[in-house]
Amino acid sequence: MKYALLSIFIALCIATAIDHSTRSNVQSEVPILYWVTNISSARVKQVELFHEWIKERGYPEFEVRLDSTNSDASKKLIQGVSGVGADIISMVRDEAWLFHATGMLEDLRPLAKKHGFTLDQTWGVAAHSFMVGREQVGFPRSMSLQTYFLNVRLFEKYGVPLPSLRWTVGEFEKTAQAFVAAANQGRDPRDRIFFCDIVNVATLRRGMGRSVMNETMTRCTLDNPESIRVIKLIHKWTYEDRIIPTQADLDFFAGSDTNTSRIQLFIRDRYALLTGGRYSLVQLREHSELKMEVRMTPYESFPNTLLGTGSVGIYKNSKHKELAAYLLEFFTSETYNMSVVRTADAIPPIPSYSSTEEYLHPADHPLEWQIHQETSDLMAYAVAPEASPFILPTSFNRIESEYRLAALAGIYTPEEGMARAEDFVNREIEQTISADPQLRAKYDKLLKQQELIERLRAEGKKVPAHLITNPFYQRYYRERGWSTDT
Amino acid sequence: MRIKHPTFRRLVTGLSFLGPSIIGFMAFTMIPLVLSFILAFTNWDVRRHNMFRTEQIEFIGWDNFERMFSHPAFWQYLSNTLFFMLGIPVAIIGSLVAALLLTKELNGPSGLRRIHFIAMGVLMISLAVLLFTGFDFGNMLLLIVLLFAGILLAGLVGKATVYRTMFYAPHFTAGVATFLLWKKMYNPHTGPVNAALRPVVSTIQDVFQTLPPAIGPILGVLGVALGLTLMAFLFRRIGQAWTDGDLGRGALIGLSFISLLPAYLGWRWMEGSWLVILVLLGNLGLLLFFVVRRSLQPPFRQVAPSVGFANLVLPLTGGIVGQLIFIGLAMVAVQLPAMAATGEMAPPDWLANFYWAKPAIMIMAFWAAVGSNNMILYIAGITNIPQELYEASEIDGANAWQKFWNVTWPQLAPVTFFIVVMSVIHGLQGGFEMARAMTQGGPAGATTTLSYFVFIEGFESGRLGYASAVVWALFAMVMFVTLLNFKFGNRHVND
Repeated sequence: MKYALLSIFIALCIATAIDHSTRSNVQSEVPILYWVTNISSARVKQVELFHEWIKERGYPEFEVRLDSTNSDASKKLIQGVSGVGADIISMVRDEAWLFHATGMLEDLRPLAKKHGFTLDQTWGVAAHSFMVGREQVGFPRSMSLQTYFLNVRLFEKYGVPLPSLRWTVGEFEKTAQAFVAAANQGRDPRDRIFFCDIVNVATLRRGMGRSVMNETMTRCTLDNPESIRVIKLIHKWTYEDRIIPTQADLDFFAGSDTNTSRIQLFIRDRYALLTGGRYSLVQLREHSELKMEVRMTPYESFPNTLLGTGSVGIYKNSKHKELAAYLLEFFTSETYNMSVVRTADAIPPIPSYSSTEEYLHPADHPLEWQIHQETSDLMAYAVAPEASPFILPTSFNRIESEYRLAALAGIYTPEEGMARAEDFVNREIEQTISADPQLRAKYDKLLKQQELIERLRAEGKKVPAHLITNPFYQRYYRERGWSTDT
Repeated sequence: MRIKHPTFRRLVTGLSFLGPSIIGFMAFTMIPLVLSFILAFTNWDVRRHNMFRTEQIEFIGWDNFERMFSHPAFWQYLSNTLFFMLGIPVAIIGSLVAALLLTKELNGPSGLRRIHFIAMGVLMISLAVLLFTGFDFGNMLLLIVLLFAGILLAGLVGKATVYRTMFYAPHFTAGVATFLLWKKMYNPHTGPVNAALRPVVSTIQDVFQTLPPAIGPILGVLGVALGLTLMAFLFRRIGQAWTDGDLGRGALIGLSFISLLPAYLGWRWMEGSWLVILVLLGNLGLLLFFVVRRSLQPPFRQVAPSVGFANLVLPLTGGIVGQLIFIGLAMVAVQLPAMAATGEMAPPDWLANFYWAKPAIMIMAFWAAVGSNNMILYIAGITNIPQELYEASEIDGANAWQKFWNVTWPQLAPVTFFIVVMSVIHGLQGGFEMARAMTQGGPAGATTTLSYFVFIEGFESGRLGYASAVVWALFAMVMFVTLLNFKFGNRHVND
């Protein structure tokens, strides 16, 4: 028996050695860099272009490979802090702040200067997604604005006048009620046509002049009349007016909460308005040439749009940081930006390419011309998401959505739900800062700033802009004339 | 140097065989276990304590535990976990019933024919019901007929082995795959669950629209009465056990308190509706009549205070679950006329509704548990029961139920004890895969269990120290319940 076991053990060792030596990963003659990101046909194409680009420019030869299996935030985090992260890391939403807090991202300032991917190259409003304090931890590869795509034909079919580019909550509600009444007359409830797929809660709240965090991002401020009103509005629109689908309606569409399914349903006339960014055009183009226009999320007093930024950072433990910097340099190149323009994958990271003729008036897609112009116009209202250094965005989002959904389901009243959510988030913040003396010092400093802001506001004086760290309030105060640059 | 001593050589040989296992155990179980215990008392946060930062991990004593016990989320998730565990008695009964069915003789031609005739009859009745209630019959009819015909045919050829394999199938099917399958099945509009329920709900709506509104409260009272009947049966057993000297005073008091649980839970969940008041008063009355009245009389013999607790706690828990189900059905029945009047009665939105998400997952867990290892254990246990006992009971004139209650069930006590212990352990630890694959812990935290909470804290928030503390608190609970089981539960087993 022992000889049999020994034989099996030896056989397994040999098989492992053969497998290891025959893998293409270890056989490559050039360095291989792994880029952990979501995979798409556009991304694959961009990598191909990158390889051609480095050859053309005579840069050192190396290979970038896409790794989509580890693109989940928690995997990136755990692998990163364990020393086995990918060389190049895609970051969405507020992940740059999370990864920076762990120290796993390279401070790119020297490399950015050398390769020319500095902050002044890209959209200033996107800075929040890759600049943490004074450190640069990434560079944008794509931008998107959360807007509505409007199906013009459907409005014409049901005789509802087209709303204007910017619209108030009241105008939105009135138009939506008229639309669903006209579109669903005599229709089976299961085939209901909705006005829009979702309403972005953050944008709606901001449209009422309120952020989820205070001016210095030190405290959560969900327990306020605006957040409560947002829940009541969503509840009314979902269950009374039936202008947006319930969870049951979404389930009916079999996995329609994913972007692809929502687009499919939009194409099949189940929504008059589709939430999305320019990236949605990639799929919309594949299926149909719809006559579309763009609309802003409705607002009450402060028109705004939510800016999404996909940025890319370099892992601190990578052996190929210098090589990885070439990819970030590539994002500033004409080759890359024009590829983004042509595929409609996103708004290009370098602003000048979004005013090119090819961007605004793509020859093969004349029905889109108005969309691109309107999106460019709405860029003026773009605000980055809030990212507090004192609570993880994933934790914040989980808590906020948990209590919001509970309030929508009637488990709590909106007032109770928001009070509980605020308390929960503030507990998390307290926990984070109590365990970290460095962060505590930063927090205390910001708390003093917050007190100063509140005192100045109470006295009716202008607030120095540098005291405000919340990107929404930075803009809100400026627009309202409440802040001063001095 | 050549080793000559035979004992030493044997030792080396033995160790070389055991070595890989010992190394594996130490590396992947023992050392992580010890480390996680140490971590529970530290502030390890991957955001601050990792290879890129210089901060030192600090011992913070009981801070993690203090924070955990003072956090409302912990109690909510613990309550979710315990709620899911209410399904354990039902699942055990399901496994037992499956095992009893699967150990029936299928070899005799007449017995075999009878069983298949019954199965065919059930099939035909089911199809008739579906047809009557307006079920869309084309493809579904063909599907069902073929499915059942296939099963019956397989049973004819392969006998009980085929059915045992089929029942055990959920256990060796990949978990995530089955969870996704159930997710599809629960789809409120396209899933087969609601497709089957829709005509039933529609018929109920039609029927209730024609009935007077008073029918709701009448059915509600009926539901409560059924629940009370169930409890009466259990209270009677408890009282009888006291009289017979099979129950200690401590056990009697403990069981009496536990029996009031449905009324308490009903009060909390249903905000003191008149039905719950009825349940509360009914349970109290039954308790007074069957238990307190008897406990005032001296028992047949004096026993230690804790004796008999374990014998009755499992049936009592099953009864409590049963009564809760009846209370729930009664509540629904009361509201049925009003719901029918709206004309919008529909099957539930299973996984997206806060109130239905937990029952939906429990139903799925029940399906998985019926054909699990528990069933295999029960089959083994039933096979080992000496036939002489059945023969003796037959000579005494026992009917099928009496044979089960007085022979099979007591003989299965060791198996049941093992299953209860393991189910409780799995119940406390479980829920992660289902929550992750089906609901992401939602809606509104309704399906977040402690194990999912550990994942959130450890891998989403990066607080490994705190997550370890939750894990060890969970371990303490498992240990405590297991010790209770061993302290009280195995007495009956060893009798």
